Amino acid sequence: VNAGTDGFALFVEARQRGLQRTAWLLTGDWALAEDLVQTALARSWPRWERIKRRDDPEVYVRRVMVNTWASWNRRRWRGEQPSAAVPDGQAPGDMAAEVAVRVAVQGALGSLTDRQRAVLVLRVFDDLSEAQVAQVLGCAIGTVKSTMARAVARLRQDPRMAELMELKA
Amino acid sequence: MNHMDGQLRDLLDAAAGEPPHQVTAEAVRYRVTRRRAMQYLSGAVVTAVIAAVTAVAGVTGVGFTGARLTYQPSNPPAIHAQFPVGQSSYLGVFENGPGYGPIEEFAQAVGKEPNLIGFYSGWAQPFPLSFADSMYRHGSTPLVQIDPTGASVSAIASGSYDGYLRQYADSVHAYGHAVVIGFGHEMNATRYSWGYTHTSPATFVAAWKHIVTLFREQGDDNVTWLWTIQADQPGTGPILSWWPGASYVTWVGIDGFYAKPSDSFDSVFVPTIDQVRGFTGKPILLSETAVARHHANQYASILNLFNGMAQYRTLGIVWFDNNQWRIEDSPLAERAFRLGVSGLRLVQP
Repeated sequence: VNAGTDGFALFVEARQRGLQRTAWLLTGDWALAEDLVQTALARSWPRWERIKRRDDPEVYVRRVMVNTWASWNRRRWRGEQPSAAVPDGQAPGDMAAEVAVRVAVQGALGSLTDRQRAVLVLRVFDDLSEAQVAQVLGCAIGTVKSTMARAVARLRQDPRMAELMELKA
Repeated sequence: MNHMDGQLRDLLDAAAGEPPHQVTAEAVRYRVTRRRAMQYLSGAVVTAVIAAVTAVAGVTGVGFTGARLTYQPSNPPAIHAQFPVGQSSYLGVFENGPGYGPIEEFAQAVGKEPNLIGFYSGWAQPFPLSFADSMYRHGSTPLVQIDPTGASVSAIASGSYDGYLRQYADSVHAYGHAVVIGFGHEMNATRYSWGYTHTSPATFVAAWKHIVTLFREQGDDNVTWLWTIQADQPGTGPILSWWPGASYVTWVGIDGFYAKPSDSFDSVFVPTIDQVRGFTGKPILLSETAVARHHANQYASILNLFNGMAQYRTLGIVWFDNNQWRIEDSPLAERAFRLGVSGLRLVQP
């Protein structure tokens, strides 16, 4: 194990949680999220030294991750199961509210197109700039803006999301 | 970030929760090493197969390559207008390309050569003639799902893309053998731009009819039109509203997956089959299906799938051999699958 791969190990340790959470928002499933993060890291590792010299590794890995997700989607990446059922069994008290949020967000994200979903997650959750999102998705900044607007409009139409956003306001 | 984005961020943050497992650098490195080893191995197998085929071709004097790559208008190939319809007579597979290698791996794993090969054809992409040719050489038939991502469905219906569609139809005609074609699969679900709540059913139906009519006008009588819905589940729309009518559809495709351990044929497919049978008697193909590999009862579920397929007199299944649905990663699943396919009577179109 040389210094380069040690750097990789440190990166994985520090960032795997955040990456998996983004991946969950994209896929809605922890097994798939883990698979996606592993795949993105596996694609980045062989080039790690170059990535570190030339890019922000964080942005680079995220880009690989979203592109991998998008390409798997084109090939019909399965696993998302929009479900009316509460997934985690018993959920009393505060847990119930937490599960309600999870189910609402999962359902609402599932009603977006893949591109809308990616733009929303990158822009709002990962806090990337419009230019960065455009770079990750390989589209124009204008497309990011219009896609984002449609995604938000769509989420607001979802009654459960509208209610949750009302509560937060 | 404005106020509403902040609210949304908080909601996404709360929803995401905590990952159940850690991803480690060791696991990632292991994965890379393993994949390289697999690539090396499958490369060796493919080379051996090609060498064997070339040797046989040399002995019998049959040219293996080139023979079917050019089309001579003076001597058009036979057109198969009718496609055999029989219960349990199709085994199909979707592989994440490229080429025929992954399909061979699947065939080896399940002990049977599939006779339908799934393919997603992106909008504005030409018909994959050379891939279709290699399928034909292997005795299988292309099942092409035309995916209109990026196109406006109403523009398709009103003829804006007729130039592209005519070209596509001509290539399919030139191919000259049976082809199964679908357009805008799973339109009753919300995940695609042409689907439920994004595009109106009337617009979709208009586009569907427009495409079928155009192909017919171009003389394509080798197409089996596969109208493909997602198996009914919470959040999908009423399937009858997308039905273009019996004269525009040859087969009905139903896509359904065993994602949860509690899923069974009764829960995944039967309610949808019942609904379809309420408005058409067209043959049904389980056009995309699989059992998740992290299922506790993957073995029993695969057998349950094959039993249901036969019991409900469907044409057969198309296995989605990808990611967490891959059959090759689980010896037990392979065994169940071999048992299942032993009951099939595959036809050669």
